Amino acid sequence: MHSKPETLAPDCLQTATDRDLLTAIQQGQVEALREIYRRYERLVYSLACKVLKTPEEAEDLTQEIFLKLWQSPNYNPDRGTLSTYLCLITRSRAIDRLRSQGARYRLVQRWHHTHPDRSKANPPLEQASLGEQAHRVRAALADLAPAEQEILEIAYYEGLSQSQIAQRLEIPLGTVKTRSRQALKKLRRLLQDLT
Amino acid sequence: MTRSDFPEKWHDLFAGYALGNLTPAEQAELAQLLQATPDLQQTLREYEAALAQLPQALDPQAPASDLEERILRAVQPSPVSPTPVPALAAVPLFSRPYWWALGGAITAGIWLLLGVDNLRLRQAVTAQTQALKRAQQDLTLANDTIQDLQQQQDQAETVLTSLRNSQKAVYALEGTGDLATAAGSVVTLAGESKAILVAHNLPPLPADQVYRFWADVETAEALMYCGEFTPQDNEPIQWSLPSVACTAPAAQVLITIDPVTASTESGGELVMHSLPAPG
Repeated sequence: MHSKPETLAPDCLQTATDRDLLTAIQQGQVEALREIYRRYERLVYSLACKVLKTPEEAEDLTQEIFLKLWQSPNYNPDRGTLSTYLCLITRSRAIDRLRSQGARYRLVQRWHHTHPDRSKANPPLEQASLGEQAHRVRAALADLAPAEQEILEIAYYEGLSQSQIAQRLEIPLGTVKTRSRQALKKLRRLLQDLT
Repeated sequence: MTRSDFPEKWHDLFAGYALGNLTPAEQAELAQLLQATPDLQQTLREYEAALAQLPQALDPQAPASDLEERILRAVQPSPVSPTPVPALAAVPLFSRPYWWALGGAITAGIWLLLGVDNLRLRQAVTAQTQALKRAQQDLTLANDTIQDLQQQQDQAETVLTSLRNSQKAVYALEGTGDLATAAGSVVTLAGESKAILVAHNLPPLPADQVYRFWADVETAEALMYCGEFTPQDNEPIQWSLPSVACTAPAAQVLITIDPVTASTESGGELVMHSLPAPG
C-alpha cells in the first residue's frame, strides 16, 4: 500500500525545484505546469524563433513542447537539467519542422541513452538563475573567435550538414569539421562548471 | 587520469559526436573507447550540455501573452468533471444530509437519463417519420411513373397489333413552307379505319386550329378529307378515318392547318406532303 502523493501548495510553487514541479505535473497538477512554463517560456520561444524565424511557428512549437511535457513527460530529472532538456527537444523539433523530410535528429533519443545517472538533487545549473546562466554563455561565446562562433551557431540553429556549411561559408569541408570541433571544445572548457 | 589528461584526439571525438559530424571510422573508434572506459560517458555529456547552452545566449523573446492560458486550457480537464464528489466525501457517511444529497443526486441522475433518453427517442421518431414521408413520396412518384410507362406500353402494343393485323398503307412525309423541318410517317389501317402518324417538329397549334389529313385517291375527283388531329408531345398520333376510301392506297397524302370551324370541303395551308414511294 502506498500513500497518496502530496500536491504542491500554491504558495510553494514558485520556490519548488524543477524536479518537484515535474513530479506535480505527473500527478496532474496544472498549476505546476504554469510555473514551469513561466520559468522557461522565453528560453523555449526564443530558441524556436531563432530556428523557425516566424513568431507564429515559434509559438506553435512552444505550445507543442509544453503540452508534450504535460502529456508524456519523458524527461528524467536524474539525467540532466530541465533547461538543457527543453533546449534539446525544442531544437530537435524545430529543425524537424525545417526539414519537412530527411533524417530526424536523434538528440532526444541520445539524451535518454547517454545521460543514465545524474542523481544530484540540485545540480549547479538548476540552482543558477537563467539570467546568470545567459550571462555566462554570452561571455563564453565572446571568448571564441568570430569564425568559431559563427560556425557553431550555424551548426546548432540551422541544422545544416558539414558540406552545406562549407558551401555557405565557402571554406573546405575539413576546415568546417576542425573549426566547429575546436569551438565546441573551447565552449565546453569555459562552461564546464555549468554542465 | 583526469579529463585534462585525455588525449586531444578523444576530445575531438567527443566534440564531433556532440556536433553530429563524426565519420563512420570515428564513430567506431568512439564506440570502442566508451566500451573500454565507460567513465568517459560523463565527459561526452559535458560536450552535449555545453552545446545545449547556446540558446541561453539568445536575446530573450516573450511569446504572446495569451499562450500560457491557451496551453493551460488545453490541459485542463473538462468543466463537466464531477466536482461534487469531494463535497460528498467530506460529509459523514451515515448522516441524513448525506442520504438527502445522495437521493437527490440519484433522482436528478435518473431524471437526466430519462430526459436524455426521451429526447433521443423523440429525435429518432421524428427522423423515422420524415424518412417514412420521403419514402411514401418516392413510392407515389414511382407508381405514377409505372402507370405512365404502362399506358405508353399499351398504346405501343395497340399500334403494333394494328400494324400486324391490318392492311396498311405507309407514307413518308416531309414538311413544307413554315414547317420545312417537319418530317414523319403516316400509316392508314384498313381494318381499323384509322391512321397513325409519327412526326417530328410538328408544333402544337392554337386551340382554334387543327391539322387535317387529306388523301389523293382514285375514287375521288378532289382531295379526300381523311380526318384531323392535334399533336401530343412527339407521341404517335391516332385518329379515325372518316371514310373507307381513306384506307385505300393514295397517290399522295397531305397535311394542312385549318381553322377548327373551317369546312372540310377544302384544305387550308399545306404543311406536309407525302414523298413518292421508292422504286
